[in-house]
Parts: sequence; C-alpha cells; structure tokens
Amino acid sequence: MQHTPVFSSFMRMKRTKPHLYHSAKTHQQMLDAQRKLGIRFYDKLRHGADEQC
Amino acid sequence: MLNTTDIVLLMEEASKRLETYDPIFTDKTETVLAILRSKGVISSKRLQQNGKYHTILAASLVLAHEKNSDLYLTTRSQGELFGRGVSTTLVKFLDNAIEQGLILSQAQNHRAKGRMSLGEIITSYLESEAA
Repeated sequence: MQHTPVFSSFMRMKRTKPHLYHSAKTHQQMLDAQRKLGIRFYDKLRHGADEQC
Repeated sequence: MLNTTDIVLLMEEASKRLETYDPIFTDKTETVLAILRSKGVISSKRLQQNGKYHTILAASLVLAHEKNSDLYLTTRSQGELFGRGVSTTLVKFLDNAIEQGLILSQAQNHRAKGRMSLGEIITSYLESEAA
C-alpha cells in the first residue's frame, strides 16, 4: 500500500531536493495528497484546528 | 482586537521586505506559498510568469501575521485596483483562499471585500515556525 505524503514531507523535500520540489509534477502531487487527506494533510496543525477547512 | 491593514499596502511592503532577503521571512513566505499551492489557490502553471506575484501574495499574508493584523480590501473594482497598480487577479486569489478556508471573510456572501482574517491552517504553521 502506497503511503500518501503529508505537508511536512513536501517541506522536507524543499530543503533536501529543491529542484524536485519546484517541479510541476511535485506541485500536482501535493494538491492530490491534500485532496485525499483533507485536513490531515497538514500534519503540524495544532490539536483542535478547524476541521471544516 | 486586531487592527486591519489594506491588502494593497501589505503587498507593497511585502515586496520591499522580500528584497531584504531575510531568511526567516523568506522561509515563512515559502511555507505559505506551499499551503496556497496545496489547496489549489494558486496554480503551479505559468510559474515563470506568475511566480513573483504569487510570492508577494504569500509574503503579504506573512506580514499580516507578523503585524497581528487583519487584511482589508477596499474594493472589488478591477479598474480601481488596476489604478493602484495591483493585478486584477488579486480578487480572484482572495476569493479562492476564502473558499478553501485559508482566509476568513466577514462579508455576508463570504467573498473578498472589507475585513478578512487569516485562517487556522496558515496561522498555525506561521506560529509553529516562529516557535
């Protein structure tokens, strides 16, 4: 089963592989992951953050 | 109670601030830019043409957070915004950000006009970066 990356995974990629991070393909993957996970995509959110976002 | 700052003035100040290459400010701006992209508020298409403008928009939100300020859009009139030297896509950007819950509008129709505040996702990430 493939793991869906969360926001911090992309931020890590920005630091370690900036060229890859800035590609259109990665931006699409980020959008797809966010659509799949919803609010859970933003893994550093404080407890009790707005679930409706 | 938070004060409010005209979004156009924030954009002007953010643009100047980016030119100082402050690494903390730049990092926060890139985080907000990533949030905006992840929600589809700004497109990664035509990155060459729009990249700088999108960065200024993201930096404006970082600046509002730094100033502990809400945003204020005086008009949706494209003519008036153009007259102030702002791209007419500003309203579309703000409408999209409101639709995605990244910016909260106090307008009854929940569109970009008047007073707006930063939503929980952007606020939380900026606060966690400041910690």
